[in-house]
Amino acid sequence: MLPVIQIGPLALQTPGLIIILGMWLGITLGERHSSDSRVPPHVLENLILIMVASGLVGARLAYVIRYPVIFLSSPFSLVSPNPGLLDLWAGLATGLIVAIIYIQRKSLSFWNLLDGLTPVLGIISIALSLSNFASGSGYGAPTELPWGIYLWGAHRHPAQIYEALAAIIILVITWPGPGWRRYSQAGMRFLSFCSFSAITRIFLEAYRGDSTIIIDGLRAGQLVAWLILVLSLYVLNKRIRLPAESGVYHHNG
Amino acid sequence: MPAIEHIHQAYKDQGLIVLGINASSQDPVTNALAFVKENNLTFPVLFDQEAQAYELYAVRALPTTYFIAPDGKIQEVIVGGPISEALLRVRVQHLLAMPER
Repeated sequence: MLPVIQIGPLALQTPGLIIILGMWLGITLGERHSSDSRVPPHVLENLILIMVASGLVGARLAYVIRYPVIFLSSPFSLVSPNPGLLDLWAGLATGLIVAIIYIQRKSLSFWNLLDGLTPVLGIISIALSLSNFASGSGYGAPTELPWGIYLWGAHRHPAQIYEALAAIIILVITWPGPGWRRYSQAGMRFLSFCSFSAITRIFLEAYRGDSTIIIDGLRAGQLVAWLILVLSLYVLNKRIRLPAESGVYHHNG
Repeated sequence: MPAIEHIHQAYKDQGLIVLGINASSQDPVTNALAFVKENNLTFPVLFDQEAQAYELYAVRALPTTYFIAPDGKIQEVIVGGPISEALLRVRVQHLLAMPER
């Protein structure tokens, strides 16, 4: 756990720094390999920037709408860098809605873009796990195994490291390359990424110490992962059955 | 720290308890007293001279802010600062709305 890196009077928030570095690396490498998904690099870059910017605005607006009096009394807090004033789900929803509008207005191929975004998402997944490790969030269940780490008053599974390792393996499997080019349908790489991520979540959630248990040991994260897995496999199956021409990487823009 | 003082003034009558804890094993008490005076802090400031609170609360960096619910459970830990006044107000309003044990 390394929540802050102190450089003289400057206290750098390590978790946020890891996420920013992950996003930078993801975007850089994603752009470099975007031609594999028939997506022009500038399109991917624009889309990500628009998603991030609108996501941040949406995430902050969610708090402003809920607590208008607080923000009226302290208007500078509107632009406060505190991540605690960002609503994750509102941010994701806003980013997604704006991205869909952008994709439609530019007449871009939805599935090609998702394939292009897959390495970006893969690297961000690794960064998120490492960020959790730095902050102590997403901690593991207590264990007596020799590789357990001491955190929050107990020896625990290094759940964040398990998740980072799984994310690295998924990134390697779904990395753009000749192996994926033999699939004629766009979207295969993204849907495979979703499926693999859901499978690892179902297993690794069991090692978490902070999960919400719904019924009989079934955790909320596992339920969501099962839904994503079923949906991803269903769409994957549908796309495999499409005639080769109709789903082939194409760009309408 | 001025933001925390504002919060203390705004919510003390609604039941909010603000405690400042000085890591006296690292930072001399005289420095802390000077800081309290300079910032006109009116909430209690405790001196953790043997680093007991530091160990018990698993502090990894300073400042660390703990938001504790009426039932005594830690709801959130924020490492580093400064924390905006709006964030403090949002979290405090959430804590004050929680039922006591």
